[in-house]
Amino acid sequence: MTRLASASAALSHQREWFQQLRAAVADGEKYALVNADAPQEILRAMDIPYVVNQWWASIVTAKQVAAQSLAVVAASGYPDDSRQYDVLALGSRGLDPDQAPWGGLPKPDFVIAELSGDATGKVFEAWTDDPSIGYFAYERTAAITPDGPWWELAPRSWERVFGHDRIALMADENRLLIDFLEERTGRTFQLSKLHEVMELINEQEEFNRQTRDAVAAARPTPVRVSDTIPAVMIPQWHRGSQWGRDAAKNLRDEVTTLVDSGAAVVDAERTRLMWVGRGLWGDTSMYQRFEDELGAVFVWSMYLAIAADGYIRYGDDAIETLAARFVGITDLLYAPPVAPAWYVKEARGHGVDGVVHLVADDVPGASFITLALEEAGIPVLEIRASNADPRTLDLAAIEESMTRFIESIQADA
Amino acid sequence: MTEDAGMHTADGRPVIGIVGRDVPALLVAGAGAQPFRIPPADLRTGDTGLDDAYAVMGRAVDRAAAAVLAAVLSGELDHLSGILISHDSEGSLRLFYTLQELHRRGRTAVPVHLVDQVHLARESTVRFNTGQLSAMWDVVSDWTSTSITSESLESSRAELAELRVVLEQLRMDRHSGRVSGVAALRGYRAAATVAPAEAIGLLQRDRHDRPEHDDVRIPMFLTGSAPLGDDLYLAIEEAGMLIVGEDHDWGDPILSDRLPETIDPDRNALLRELALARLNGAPASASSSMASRAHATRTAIVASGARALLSVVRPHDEAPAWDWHHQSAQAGVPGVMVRGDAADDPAQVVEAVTSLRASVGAAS
Repeated sequence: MTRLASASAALSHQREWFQQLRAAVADGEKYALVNADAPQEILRAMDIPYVVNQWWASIVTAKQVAAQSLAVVAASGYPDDSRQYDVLALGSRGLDPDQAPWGGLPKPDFVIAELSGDATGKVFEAWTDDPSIGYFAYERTAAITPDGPWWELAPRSWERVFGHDRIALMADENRLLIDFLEERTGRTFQLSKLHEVMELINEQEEFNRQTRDAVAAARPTPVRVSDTIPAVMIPQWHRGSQWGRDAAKNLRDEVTTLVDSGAAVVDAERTRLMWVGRGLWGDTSMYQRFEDELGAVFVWSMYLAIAADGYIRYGDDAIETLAARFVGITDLLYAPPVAPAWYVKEARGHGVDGVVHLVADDVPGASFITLALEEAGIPVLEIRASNADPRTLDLAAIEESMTRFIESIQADA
Repeated sequence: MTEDAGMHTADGRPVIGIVGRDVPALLVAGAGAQPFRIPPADLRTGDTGLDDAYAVMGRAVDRAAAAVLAAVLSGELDHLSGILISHDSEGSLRLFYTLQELHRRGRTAVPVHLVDQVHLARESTVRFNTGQLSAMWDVVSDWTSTSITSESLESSRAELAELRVVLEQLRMDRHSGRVSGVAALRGYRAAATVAPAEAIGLLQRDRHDRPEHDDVRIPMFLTGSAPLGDDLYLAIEEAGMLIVGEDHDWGDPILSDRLPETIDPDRNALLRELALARLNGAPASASSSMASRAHATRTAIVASGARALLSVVRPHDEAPAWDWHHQSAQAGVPGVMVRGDAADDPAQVVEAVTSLRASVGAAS
């Protein structure tokens, strides 16, 4: 089975886009580095280029310069064992030019982040050691218990999921960000442009929802998770653009065509697996072996699923609607009781036989996700590792434990 | 921990547990309850209770939060009417999510409520925090079945104000070398865990018992993680330094959150004042910028007369290690950071203190 055309197209587009961004910055264009959990739509509406911190971290990791980037962080006087994924971009700025991926990350003019955890704010503040870089922070408020299944309520009844006060605070901060950007770029924010951006995003995520539903219903699974991740995530980094919307549509069309044609990742699919947590997809050979030798295939990762369920918001006030999209986006993935119920819903929807749960250091409530899945009768293998620091990864041990896990599921089947 | 908490159920008043500095004790007392800030025990790996807590929370969490969870799981806090948890750190937030879920599942007896105070100096933050305190007001009234009134608040405010006068005196005595760091730590802890009148009695008795002579040890400012118990302070002070100030939330910063001078009869105005009091208080590592922390450290070092800076940072307490780069650069005195597993090893802390003493000697 060949790679999805949508994935190849997305990867190709991203390289081209990044070189265009580098060229624009070299010509004096101002750009932002923004953390994935902070709203990017205002930047899009103001035509301010931006790079998403986590995307760049994935490039640094894929190009195997994460350790060197962390060494740069340590040499700057900051810890290299804290918020490692968040800090890779900062460290990568100090790489030798011949090491820097894709020609290197240009110096941003401003950085934007939500104050998650104890140190994310400090990671982004560290950028301002260069006083020419501005920094805007969003507060990170805590999850509340939703008044029902959040994936059904969030698109239109978001206050029942996130609460009025949290959304009002973030809406205020959206307005402050607009002031911050107008002051620093000389550009003028237009609300009508933000409305257009929000509409494009809803269209994009509706396509993702259709793709997710098609994958969930298909037996055997027609696409690899390692393919859907770039095909979903790269357009996600371009949310609010026509290209992002069209890329999501193309993915939907490609996947439904594959489903209709009876395509299969594994012809004799024996075991359907779900990957919970951040990915360890840098080396796909391990997953290939699971497919070839055990007939086991990963049918789910959070990237497509959260795009399908987490982002769609329909509202008249674009500033508030944007706040309702972002105020709890990370909680949906990690905080109990919000997150565990969703994983169970997704596991059942995809008919998985088992779950591999990568438990990272910086997420709350992981044990309750495992517990909820197990209570639903779904076996779970927990892996404790950082996907950012190759120094802590023992892929051989992970592969061995996953092999035993799959074999145990198959023995019980 | 059990002894402190147990003492205050005898008078018949309900006791409400508090985690973190962001929860205003005034509102708890105004609802007729005894505020009891839960001091995390110095549990170590191998302790059954701590291991049980890690099994639920995961090991990548500050031991302070896991120790509080261990106390709840053991049942020793079951007499509390509820626990109010600050959003002052990731550890506290995880503790809240965990306890909320355990309570929802019927595994713990004590209800919990998050007091979600966030920390940027913005009007939008003040509004949000004020709303959070309003929710807390309703929760504690519900837990105690007692309405909070202007009169109950004024009575509680007066008691707490009297206690603060004694604590301020303790701080001044400490700066002049007449009070050890560990004595100050115990004083602050008493103020946060027992009734004001009793805490005042303890502090005044302690003052009366102090030696006449001034301490000759090298004055030092402590930053990093809030200590669990007294052992860290004892080890540092036995190694020849005197802790004259600190910036963790069981020390001097308690006094930086001002009490209202009067009780505003307008509920929202009073809550706004309380929200601002915390926002304007000393910056805590996990909720403040590195720049503000470095500035506060320098200011406190000057005010306390410290001649050295020591940072002791436990594993999984991420924020203080980020602060260190700017803190140490701006401190104006020699400094050492002990981090990670070394911070849990008294021998390595003493070794750092010895090296710091040598640096101070060389600098003077």
